[in-house]
Amino acid sequence: MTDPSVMTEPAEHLSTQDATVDVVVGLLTLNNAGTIEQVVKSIIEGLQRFFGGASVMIVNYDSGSQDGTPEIIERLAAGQVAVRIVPGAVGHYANLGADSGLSGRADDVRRLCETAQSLQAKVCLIIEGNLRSLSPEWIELLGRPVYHDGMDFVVPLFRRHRYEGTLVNNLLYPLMRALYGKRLRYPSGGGYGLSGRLARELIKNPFWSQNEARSSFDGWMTTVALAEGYQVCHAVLGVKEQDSRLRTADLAHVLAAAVGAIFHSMENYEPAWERTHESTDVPIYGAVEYAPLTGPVNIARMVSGMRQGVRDLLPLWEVILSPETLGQILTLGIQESDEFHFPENLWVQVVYEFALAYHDHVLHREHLLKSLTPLYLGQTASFVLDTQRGCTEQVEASVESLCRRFEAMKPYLTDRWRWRDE
Amino acid sequence: MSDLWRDTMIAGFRDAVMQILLVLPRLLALVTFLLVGLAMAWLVRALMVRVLTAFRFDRLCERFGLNQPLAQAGIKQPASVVLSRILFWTVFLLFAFMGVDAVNLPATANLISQIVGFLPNVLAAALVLLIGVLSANFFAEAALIAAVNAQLQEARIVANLVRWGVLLFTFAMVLTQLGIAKEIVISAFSITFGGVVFSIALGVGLGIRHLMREAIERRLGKKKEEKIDELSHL
Repeated sequence: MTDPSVMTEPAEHLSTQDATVDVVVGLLTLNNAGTIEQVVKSIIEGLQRFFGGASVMIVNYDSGSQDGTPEIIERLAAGQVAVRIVPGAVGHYANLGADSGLSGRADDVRRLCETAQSLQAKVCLIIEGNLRSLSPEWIELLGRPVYHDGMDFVVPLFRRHRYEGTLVNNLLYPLMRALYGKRLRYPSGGGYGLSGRLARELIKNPFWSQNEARSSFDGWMTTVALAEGYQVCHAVLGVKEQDSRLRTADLAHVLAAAVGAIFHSMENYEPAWERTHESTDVPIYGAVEYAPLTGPVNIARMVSGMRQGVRDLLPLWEVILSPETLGQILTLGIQESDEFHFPENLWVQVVYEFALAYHDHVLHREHLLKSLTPLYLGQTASFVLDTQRGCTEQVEASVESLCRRFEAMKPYLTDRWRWRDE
Repeated sequence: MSDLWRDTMIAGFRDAVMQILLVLPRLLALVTFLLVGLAMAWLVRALMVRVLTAFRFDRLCERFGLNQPLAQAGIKQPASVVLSRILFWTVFLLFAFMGVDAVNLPATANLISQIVGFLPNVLAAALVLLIGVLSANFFAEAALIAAVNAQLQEARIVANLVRWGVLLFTFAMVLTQLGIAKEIVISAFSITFGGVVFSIALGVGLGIRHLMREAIERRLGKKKEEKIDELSHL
């Protein structure tokens, strides 16, 4: 006999049947039979322990699992938590990058936001079904800042070693911080906490149909939250372990998607980032931890990638970069691998000039973004060489210094942006 | 005798005057066509420059990578100027052909109707050429960036192969469209294209077989990566 608390409904019928729910947990799955049991048990325990007095619901958005994932969720939640299964939710294998957060799940998140709006939910949690390290505390850490403290967007921080997330530390975080003035690390997937207010704001936004947004949805949610002035914070969740069965996208693809989403948003939120001149801290729930570095980092390969870019991509960079910047990059090509150094100023100049070139459409945009990869490798090699003998605090100091450089040189971007628009 | 001489002279003079009177208006028509053609061509060019500037045509061409092949072909002017010039000469030549047709010489009879009949082929060929050049640049650029990001040392060779492959295909299509030595073009294209593919296959097979073996072994998980990199980007 079917449990009355478990319903399998098409998404469009979902929101009309229930009155109001305080906490909605959107569980995104695709063939996650190996991890889903632990995930669902942790969610249920977390909801019962930390949101005992609130009305709660789990909504599963499944992208066509063939291994019985939705059935496992139904079985585990029966009699404990109200569950809605949205079978055949939009999303498919081709769009799902295992290591890029919610990429390809834009439609699922949109439906979740619509559900949260209809149910007048106060808190909306997004959880990925392939997590192996999800614990009940995650539910508290992602939900409590919204439920009790009036936050709108909770971005997780995970226990990582110093060279995990070098793209975030060297490009995405400093750029977003300089643009929108909040010291919020770029999200790396796993789970998020949203307020009902932010969910409604997301539905209003037109970016659901824009490719740039769909390919890096985590970044877009963050941009909207920051640019529209919502309260954002971090929650320290510990270790993140995920099942990565799907193909891992290559670096150029990941870089193009993440950086492209930020550059694209600069056009939508021009007034917001132009009036921001300095950054402020965001609340952090929990204590930040670092994992030890366990293996080698192949610096020579990164420097070689940078050198090859200087050798082969020069005609493209001539179109994108100013002669002054290009001249400085040419000198990098002749440095020895172990003495390689990419000056902070030059890196910031490169990123800002790529943003301007993207704005001006000087090249096909995907080509432009992907041609940034060798320069990023050069910056990363320099970052590792500068910090490898120091402690974790030194790495953080180096990231902070780069962020301040991005902020200090922001007029370089705004002046040229305005000048080109005139 | 003197009457016959006088009649012959008068008839000859009369015929010559008649011939001149017949040709003169035609020559006048030719000159008029040339002058009107010049004026129309100049007008069309001026209009075209204004329209293209309004639509930021040069910026669009830069975006789609058309300026690079123009520069490589030794054309330093912006694409809008080149297009306007082409239009100028097209209009002028059309009027010139009308003028030549008006002269009604046996050698140029039906010239304008033949040209007008062939015009769709020329336009189609020009369109194929434009799309081909744009595609060649686009795919060569994409191949170059992908190869550089994969740290393939022969990135430029790969990009050039892609560019010339697409251009070769385009030229064959253009010549076929214009009906120039159709059979020879098709045969030459088949032989060249087949030869290039065979050469690459042979080169890859013999030259980098050990690399291919290693790549396949890595793909099948038989051989572990020599260096495990602890760095993760996102």
